[in-house]
Amino acid sequence: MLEITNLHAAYGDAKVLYGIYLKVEPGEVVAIVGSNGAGKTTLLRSICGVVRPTEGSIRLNGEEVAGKRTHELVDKGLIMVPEGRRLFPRMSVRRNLEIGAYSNRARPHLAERLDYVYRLFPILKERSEQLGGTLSGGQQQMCAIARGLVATPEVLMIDEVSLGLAPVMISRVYDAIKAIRDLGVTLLMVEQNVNQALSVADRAYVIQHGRVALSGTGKELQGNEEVRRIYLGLNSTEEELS
Amino acid sequence: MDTLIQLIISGALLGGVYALAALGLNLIFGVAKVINFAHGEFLMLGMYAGYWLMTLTGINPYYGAPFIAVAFFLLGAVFYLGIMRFTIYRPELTQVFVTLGLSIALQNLALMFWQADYRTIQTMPQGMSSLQLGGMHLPTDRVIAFGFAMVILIAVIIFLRKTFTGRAIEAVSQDLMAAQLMGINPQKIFVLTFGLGIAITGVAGGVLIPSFYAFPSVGTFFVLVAFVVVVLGGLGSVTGTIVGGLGLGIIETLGGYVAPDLKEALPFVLLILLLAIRPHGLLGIKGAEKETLK
Amino acid sequence: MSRFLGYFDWKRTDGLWFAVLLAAAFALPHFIENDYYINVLVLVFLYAGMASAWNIIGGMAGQFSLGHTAFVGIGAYTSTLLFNYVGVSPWLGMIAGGLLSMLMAALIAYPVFRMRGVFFAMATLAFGETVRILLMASRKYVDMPYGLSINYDPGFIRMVFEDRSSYAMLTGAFLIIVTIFAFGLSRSYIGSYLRAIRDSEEAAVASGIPMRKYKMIAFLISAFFTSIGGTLLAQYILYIEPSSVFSTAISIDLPLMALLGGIGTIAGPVIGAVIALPLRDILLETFGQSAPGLHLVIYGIALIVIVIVLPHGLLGGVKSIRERFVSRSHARSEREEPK
Repeated sequence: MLEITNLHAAYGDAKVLYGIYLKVEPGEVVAIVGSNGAGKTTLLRSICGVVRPTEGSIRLNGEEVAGKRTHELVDKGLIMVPEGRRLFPRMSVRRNLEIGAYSNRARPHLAERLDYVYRLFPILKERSEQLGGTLSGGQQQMCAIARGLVATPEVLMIDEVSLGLAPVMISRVYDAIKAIRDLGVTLLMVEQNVNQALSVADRAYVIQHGRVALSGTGKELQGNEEVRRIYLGLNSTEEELS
Repeated sequence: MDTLIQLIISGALLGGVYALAALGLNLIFGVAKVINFAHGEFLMLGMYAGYWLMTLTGINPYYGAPFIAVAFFLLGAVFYLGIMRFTIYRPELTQVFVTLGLSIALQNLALMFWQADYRTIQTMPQGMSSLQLGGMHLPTDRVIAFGFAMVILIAVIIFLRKTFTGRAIEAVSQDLMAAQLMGINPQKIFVLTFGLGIAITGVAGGVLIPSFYAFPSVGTFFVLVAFVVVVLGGLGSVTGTIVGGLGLGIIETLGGYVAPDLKEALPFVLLILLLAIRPHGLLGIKGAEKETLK
Repeated sequence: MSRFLGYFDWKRTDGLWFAVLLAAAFALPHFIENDYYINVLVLVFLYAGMASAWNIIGGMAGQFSLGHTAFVGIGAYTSTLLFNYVGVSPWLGMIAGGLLSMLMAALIAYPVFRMRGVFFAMATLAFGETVRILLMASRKYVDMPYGLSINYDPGFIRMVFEDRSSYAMLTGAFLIIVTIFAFGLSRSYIGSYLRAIRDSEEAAVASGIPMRKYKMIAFLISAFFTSIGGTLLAQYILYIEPSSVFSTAISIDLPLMALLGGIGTIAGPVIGAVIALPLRDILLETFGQSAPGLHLVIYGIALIVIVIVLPHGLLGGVKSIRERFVSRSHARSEREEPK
């Protein structure tokens, strides 16, 4: 469904991604893990058009979409839940959700999607008139994910799922993610917390220094020593020397 | 007591118009985070538009407002696409100078074409120039202008709250990147906002000319008024514009009664005080004065 | 002395620039016979000096003031009033004006420095206008004519000169002094603090730089020198009125010149003044006759275009051309080197 080949990206003169490859099949949950600064967020941003890739290909359902503008990609079903949630602070929960259906693709289905996310996240229905800026971290994340779902995504990308959330919130959010997964939504998530990520993901890619260092199924990677080393930012030579 | 009421009502009438004059500025600022120093000149152009409309076709600006609105919407779109588009992601000083440059250019264009004479128009037939309401004499033009102001202000609020496009504008003003992630095309929103903002400003000018004289540099007075209204009522808040406008109108009218010499300085002093004490205004968003486009 | 000099971060071309300035200020006036060109020289030096003074707060510290005309006016009025009514020499009156301007700056600093960017610009604009209005309103209580004239009675102590070349040397000296201060400030640790504040206030605060203190220092110095410029202006034109010295046009001109040449640099405001003033005169000559205001329309449009095309002014433009040249030749030499 989503296929990325040889993706390069940079912020001005600072190059961040060096030839990323990545694949997401329909219905899969794919995780992207790696230490801070490895380029995970940049990767998602390049996919959804916030950052312009300098080289490489991104294919969504066979169609080449690299370099297209963000709002065009939303219309094709490439939806990102950004790092830090970024709810509209002075809009209510309901308004935030409704604006998620702004695109031509999603608007006809607003009513049923709203229903769907309210059932998935009953707390959002409870607090539907509360302002986005006043929700707790975990509630914001759920609202942000719900907002992404309202957009009728082909692929839902979530950047830094658990960043800044208290542990009890993290497990609630992951329960929600499991629910979404069980409903068949295709997910691509960036996650710092490797264990949580690998517990829901079908497959995962480990990113280091802007490149794919490892990839495999969740189970394969869970026990893998390399993953631990990469995540901690060490590479093999360093460890050998110490 | 009677005088006080008369002054307050007078001030409120004036304030309503001030609010309308400032709405365009606030709208554009809220969305594009741009302070348009040429705002007064667009108002001036609106006043001239009203003048020429009446002088050349006999249609008074109250009936002609829709024409003015359409013309100025296009003007606003051109303003954005032709000029402001290049300043949006640049340092603020670029915007300041670009809009200042435009202000100078427009003022002098008006001077070139229409000379420095003061112009105004008569819209009311003899005898209708003021209304009697509850023992007070109120200038008809001001009452009508106030009416226009209230209708437009409320219409804009409804537009922003109830329509998808209006909400998209709100979204862009709150978080540009998130708005893009919703599928909102920022260029379209900017064009729309500038168009709308300038259209409102044009109409504001049109309904002002029966009560105020038009001349090429009249914009410099109004732009400061608009700044004060926006800062007083709240940067980026449309409801705040109403509050700010009414507030300024009343304060100015009362102040003008008490100390007529310093009346001219009042908006400036008020502006500095406000910026110092409560820069986000009465209803504005805290920290709006520090915002830049994200 | 060398330790003192060592405080500053000298660059290779600095000596050259200084030599050029000195020559321009003291030698050039004697070579120019034509009255018109000498007049341009006087004004170019004067505005370059004031633009440089503006640049200290506006360019180096990044606080974009649109109200500097207040200081020009205060300087002009203080020295003129003191001279006309009390008989104080403008040399002293100039200092008095400067101090008064510093006081005004200190007073206004509290409210305006709380704001950033455009709002600071707005507030200073309002400040400039307010001072003018207050001055005009004060005429009700103090018997003062609308415009003040200074008697044409040449004499060094009265700071009135018979020939324009003397004025050119005066304003030239002013420019040199301001430039020295700007230079000293810029190349010292204060300069790096100011630049830090300009580039990112949050980062500067986090690094422990006492922002208010340094912004204030820059603002006070800027106000002082701008004010001196006001006095010199009054002494040159020999007539001042509120709309001539408290004019938004001046408030826009000073940052404009700094911008044109290269905001934040030391040479920038000077280059800007050198170009802007004669250019405006030429525009006025060419277009001013056909229709009133046309030359300003062009000026306004030029302003828009320049700011968009050259956000870092001419010096910035030159720098980026040079950089592109350098990187291209580097790339070429890299390819040619044997590996």
